[in-house]
Amino acid sequence: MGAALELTNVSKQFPDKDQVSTHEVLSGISFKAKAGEFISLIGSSGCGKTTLLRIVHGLETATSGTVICDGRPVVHPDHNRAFVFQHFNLFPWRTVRENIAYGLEVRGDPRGERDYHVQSMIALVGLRGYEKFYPHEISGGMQQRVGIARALALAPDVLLMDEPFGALDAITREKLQRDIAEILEDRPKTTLFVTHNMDEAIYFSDRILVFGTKPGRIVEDVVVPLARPRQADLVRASREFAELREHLWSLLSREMQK
Amino acid sequence: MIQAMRNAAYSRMGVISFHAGLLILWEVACREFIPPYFLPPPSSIFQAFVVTLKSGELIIQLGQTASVLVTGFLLALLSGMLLGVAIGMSRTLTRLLDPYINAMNAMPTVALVPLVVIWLGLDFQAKVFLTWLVSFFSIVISTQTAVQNIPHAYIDTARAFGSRRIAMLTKVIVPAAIPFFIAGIRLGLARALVGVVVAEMFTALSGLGYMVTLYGNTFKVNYVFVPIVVLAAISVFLNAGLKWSERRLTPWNRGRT
Repeated sequence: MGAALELTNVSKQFPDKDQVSTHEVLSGISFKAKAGEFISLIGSSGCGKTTLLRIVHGLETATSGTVICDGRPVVHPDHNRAFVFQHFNLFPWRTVRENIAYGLEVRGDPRGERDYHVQSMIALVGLRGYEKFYPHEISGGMQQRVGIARALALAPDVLLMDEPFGALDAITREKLQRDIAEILEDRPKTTLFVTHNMDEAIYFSDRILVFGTKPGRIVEDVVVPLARPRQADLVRASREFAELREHLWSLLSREMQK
Repeated sequence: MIQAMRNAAYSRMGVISFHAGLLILWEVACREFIPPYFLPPPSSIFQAFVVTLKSGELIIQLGQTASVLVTGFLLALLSGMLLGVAIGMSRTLTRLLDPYINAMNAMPTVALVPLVVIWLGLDFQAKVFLTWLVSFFSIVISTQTAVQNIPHAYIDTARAFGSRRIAMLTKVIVPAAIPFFIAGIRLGLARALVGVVVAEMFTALSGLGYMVTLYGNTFKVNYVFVPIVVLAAISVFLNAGLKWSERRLTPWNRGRT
């Protein structure tokens, strides 16, 4: 069902090029995610969304503030959380099956159990018949299916997705979105989802955190009141969708004018 | 289809007749204008080859060279890769050792032959040491470069999936670096072969390099060419073997640009 996340006053400073001064990328980020909640982080590029996601995973450390996952502070990546990258980041020397198995291998799962999980993940994301292909032999959409299967194989409580559909063309994106929505419907996880795309954010989310820039901070915490399960076409045709989209757009354009 | 096969057959025949033509040209030129102490004709080189082969000399010397090459190069490979990976993974080691490694690599190490002879004498261990010395640093450098140039995304991804030092090394750094490792091996092997021959020529006790010196000093020029041709064949053979093993070891690289 997922685990609860709690961020308190998370800030991040990066050193400037001169190595002396610093600039603030994230300032005072606080929010809670209930177990199983789907939260999108939306905002223009450079607002620190990706950095925040990396901090939540433990790939980077916050300059100040804390991240609590399932009651414990996050210090480094662990297998309770799984990460999906924008550019897939598959290992080119591993086949589809071996890429999906990566996290399980590192965790030290026994071989039989691992094979079983990997096989069921391959079926889940629709990659049967491609087990032995190398990443460069399959399309971008399929590569991201592998990326998602690699994350889900760990059966994580928290799923962190950094613009997972960002590098895909419109049609592939649409298809993959529906498949992923369906998969998450069956096995809800606490999910943080970074995106530029308002439609995507509304379709998936329970809540949308709208980010402003310089420094990156939360401008508004928007609740998405649409019932689940959602159907993409129906959602898009609804009045609530149009209103939400309008609201998000006004928030984002106000930020952009600053 | 048949046309294509016919074309391929024609072009292969063209290539073969080109090489045969060159050989005939060489033979004729030697018989007509070039004095044999300057450049012997292929027929007399072949004769010398048969003589040294029958007497067993060629096989014995080849065995000597091969054993030095294999021992020295394997030692260089093992030690060079270990140090290369260590330097590649540690910034401190890079900073401390880089100047020495680069200096030793840039220096023509064969210039150290007299010193090696003083240290270790003229025997097997001296030649092995020299072979090691000549190839070690280029293997260190190519291994180090391979490790340091692994795309950050791989490291990042491995970390995101919980890899720490050992898993990082065995599951990410080594496989990502294999194509570069092999390029380094090829470079180091070419150098090692030079090292063996120089050592043998200088110590002049045994090996193909010794044959070169011996017959050169006695002006048996057609005999000088025997070890030279054998050495050329060895390096072509080793290179082909490496290319083959690279294809076997990195199936994901096949057909990728």
